[in-house]
Amino acid sequence: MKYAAVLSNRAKADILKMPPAIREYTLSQLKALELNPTLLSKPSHFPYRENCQMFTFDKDHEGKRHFITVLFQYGTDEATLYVAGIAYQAADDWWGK
Amino acid sequence: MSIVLKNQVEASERSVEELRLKIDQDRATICMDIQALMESVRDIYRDINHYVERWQAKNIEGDRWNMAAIFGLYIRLDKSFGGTADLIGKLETKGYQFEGQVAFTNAWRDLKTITCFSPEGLEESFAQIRRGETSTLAELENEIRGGAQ
Repeated sequence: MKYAAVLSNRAKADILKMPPAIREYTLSQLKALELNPTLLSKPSHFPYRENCQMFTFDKDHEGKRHFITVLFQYGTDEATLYVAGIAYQAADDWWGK
Repeated sequence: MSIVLKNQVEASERSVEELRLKIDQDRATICMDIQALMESVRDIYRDINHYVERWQAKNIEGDRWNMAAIFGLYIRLDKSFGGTADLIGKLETKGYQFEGQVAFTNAWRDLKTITCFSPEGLEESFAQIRRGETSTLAELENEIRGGAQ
């Protein structure tokens, strides 16, 4: 069964802030999530309350590894994925370069 | 030739070697300290997660102070990870190597994911969802394509 991803304005802003290539990849991954959220996600953890799912993926682009994590909840209609936020980090930034 | 001058030159040569050795020893000690710090911040991260697991298992609703305090600890620990990574980077450029970088980086990545989602930000996001302040993927794509034209 195909779900429909619905993004909060915050989550939408998270995507709009990304570099274009990462943004496009994230959109394609969200489409994949709509098709199989159970397989692609796992329950979220600290310090979030229960009932959230995390969907995590990477993308190598221009010499950097980009890490993206989508936090969402299943809708009670069992047809909607409510995306609350999307975390985005680039690996090179981590080493103070 | 003065024996005094000869001895002075020999002493300076010994000093150079001794100081080189001391620098190497000091660097080795610093490397060991940084290695221990890498393991320590990972352990602290694991301990905070265990604390949160126990806290959440009690299912205490509305414990906002505790969530904010824990989130604050995660933020501070993220900075410790960052400082440690900075030290590693500086010594790596001098040819030193460290063990456990993959585990360190993985833990840091998990931590950074947590700190990206502030409790207040998530609350606001879910409030937006309840108010219908949302977009479908198709609407977002149209907005992006429209903005690009």
